[in-house]
Parts: sequence; C-alpha cells; structure tokens
Amino acid sequence: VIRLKNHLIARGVWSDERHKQAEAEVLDAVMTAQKEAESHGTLHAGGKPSVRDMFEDVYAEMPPHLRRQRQQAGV
Amino acid sequence: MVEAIRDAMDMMMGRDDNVVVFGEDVGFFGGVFRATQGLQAKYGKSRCFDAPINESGIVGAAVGMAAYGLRPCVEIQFADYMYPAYDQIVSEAARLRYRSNGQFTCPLVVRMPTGGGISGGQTHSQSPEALFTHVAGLKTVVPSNPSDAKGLLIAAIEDPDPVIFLEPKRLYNGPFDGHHDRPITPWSKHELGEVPDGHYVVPLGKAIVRRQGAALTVLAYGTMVYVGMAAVAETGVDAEIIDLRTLLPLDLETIEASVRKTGRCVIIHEATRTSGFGAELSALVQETCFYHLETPIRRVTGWDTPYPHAQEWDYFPGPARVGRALLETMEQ
Repeated sequence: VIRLKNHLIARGVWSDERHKQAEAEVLDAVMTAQKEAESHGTLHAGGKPSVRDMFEDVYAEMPPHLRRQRQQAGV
Repeated sequence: MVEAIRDAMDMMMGRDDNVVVFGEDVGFFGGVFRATQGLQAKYGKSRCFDAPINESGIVGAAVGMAAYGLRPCVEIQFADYMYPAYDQIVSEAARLRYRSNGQFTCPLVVRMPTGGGISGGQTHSQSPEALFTHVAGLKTVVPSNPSDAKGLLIAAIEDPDPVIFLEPKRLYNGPFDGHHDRPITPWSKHELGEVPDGHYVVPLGKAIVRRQGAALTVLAYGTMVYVGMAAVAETGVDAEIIDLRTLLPLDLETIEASVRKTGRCVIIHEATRTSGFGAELSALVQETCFYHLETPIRRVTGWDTPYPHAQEWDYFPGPARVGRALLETMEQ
C-alpha cells in the first residue's frame, strides 16, 4: 500500500491528504461493519447458533447420510 | 511436543548435512508453532529457510531436492493449507520411485499441524489423513505424545520414501482429552512428556497398546487417544486402547490380536466419517476378526460437515460421545 501510495503521489494523481482521508473512510467502513456483525452476537457474549445449524448449507438439499447424522447428534 | 519435534529436526540436521528444513515462516521466525525455532541460527540460511506462501512450490522444490539426494523435511503451516500441494504430493512425491522403476526416490517428510480443538474454524482444524492413506507410495504418521513424536520424526526423516507427518496441534502443549472447559495439563505433568535425549527411533508401522483391557478394543490415534482414555475412565468399560501411531503402514497384527481377545471394536477419529480412515480400519477388522466379533464395529467421528467454528464442541467427538459408543457396544 505504501509503495503504491508513493508511486501514485510521484505521478501526481494522489496526495498525502487524500490518502489520510481514504484511510479514515476505510477504517470507518470496517468499524461499522464490525459493529453490525457483533450486534448479531459473538461467541464471547455467549450467543451461539444452534447445533442444528451445523448441518445446514453443506448441500442445497441435505443428503440422507447427513440427515441420519443430525438425528444421531440429537438435534 | 513441539520441543520434541524441534529436537528431532535439530538432531537430524546435526547428523546429516543433507537434511534441510523449510516452509512458511520456518526460518527467521521459527515457525508459527515454534517447531523450527533456532534452527536457522544454528545451521544457517541454506539449511533452514523461509519459503513463499506457495504450498505447491514448497513440496515441489522438496521433491526435486529429494530426487537429487537431499533429505528435505518441510512444513506446511496447517494441514488445511495442504490442498495446493496435493498434486505435488500425489503425482510426484508418492510416485517417483514407481514411475522411474526405482531410479529416482523421494525421501521427503512433509510436516503438518492437524486436527481441531483450538477454535480454528474450518481453515485451521481439519484432519485430512485419509487423503494421504488413500495414496499408494505415501506413509502417514500421527504421533500422540512428545516421546513418540521425536522418535517417529527421526524415523520419518531416515525413511527412504515420502512420509506425511501429521502433528495434532491441540497436543503441542499437553495431552487433551476433549474436556475443553477444564484446565490444560502441560506435558511436564504427564509421563509421556518425558523425551529421551539423543538419537532414537520409534519405528514406522508399529502401534502401541496404551491401556490393557479385556472388554473392548478402541482404535485411536493423535488427540483421540486421550479422548478414549477419558471415556474409559468415565464409563468404567475395561477397554484396550490402541494408539496406531502410524496409519500407513498399519500395524494390523496388534489390532487383530486385541480384537480377537476382546470381540468388540470401537474406532474413533476427529476427521469426517464417510471414507475416513475409520472406514478402512472397520473393513480390516471385519475381514480379519469376523468370527471373533460379538457386536458390530462402531465408529465415532467428526460429522460429515466442514469443521464448524461456533459449534466446535458439538462437532468434536468428545468423551461423552465416545463413552456412549463404548456402553452401547457393551450392552448389545
């Protein structure tokens, strides 16, 4: 990133001010996304998806062997 | 256990100039699990060095070195990162001897931390041993304690053929019986944490009976040896626990002798169930011990899903699930 920044500044299409501004914008976007993600719960906060969820999204349609395993897991 | 593994590499690098060690962050930094700490300082940058983040390149270069006469012992940072190198392992390392009618060989060790229990999610927790045992030409080793790890790694480096050396990462700092909510026991407080000095070999292809028992045979390797021990302690089932140590070549004699004595067999592994190494074990026990079996062989394994992050302890086949299988097998 530093190398690209220096290159772009040298070519006159970028500046230290614009770089600082861009960094602040990106940091803000990441923080907002993290806060939104954490609002759904974190493992440390004790919230946890159900064990049943563990067997979902392996396939579009759950094959019989996985259904049997889910039953064995008792969920 | 990580010190024992480092000790084995140190020992072999000191004895044989042809032994070279490399991988991602292996040189200057000494490896993310510190398995190669100090080796670059001791043996120099031509014997222990950093590789680019390119697993196929790491194994590919090692195959060339091995064919040339060196003895590379390379590290793939996590077994989960092995997939880009799989073509080099299967198509080149495993077949070089066969393809060249013995003219070229590939005395190569690929070390990889394996298995779960460290909150690593799907990209740092997998157990891909069956992907290696299925390949003709490879040997596959899974140590369960420091003393074995050193002796097995020395044997692997001295072996004339490619060896996949899977290190259960949850065992690096101590034995782990699946009770993730209890304090960690360090190896210094465990009898198998004692590592002999100097050069010694634990031969490839030799299992060991970790616990003598008459009621049932448990086949396990790596972390699951301790889960099996805990399940036995908690259920009171007098099981014989066999630590396979090497999956291929497999010590079928030890397995057969035990199952013929007990008449019951439970196979446990962390890896997913379908086409897992437990399926091979189950088939072999059925083929060799059918007339001695009192009950069907049982498998307790990870579920057939990617390794989950949030539900790790519902996925990991811990002592409760193993214990249930022991009791069911006895009650049948």
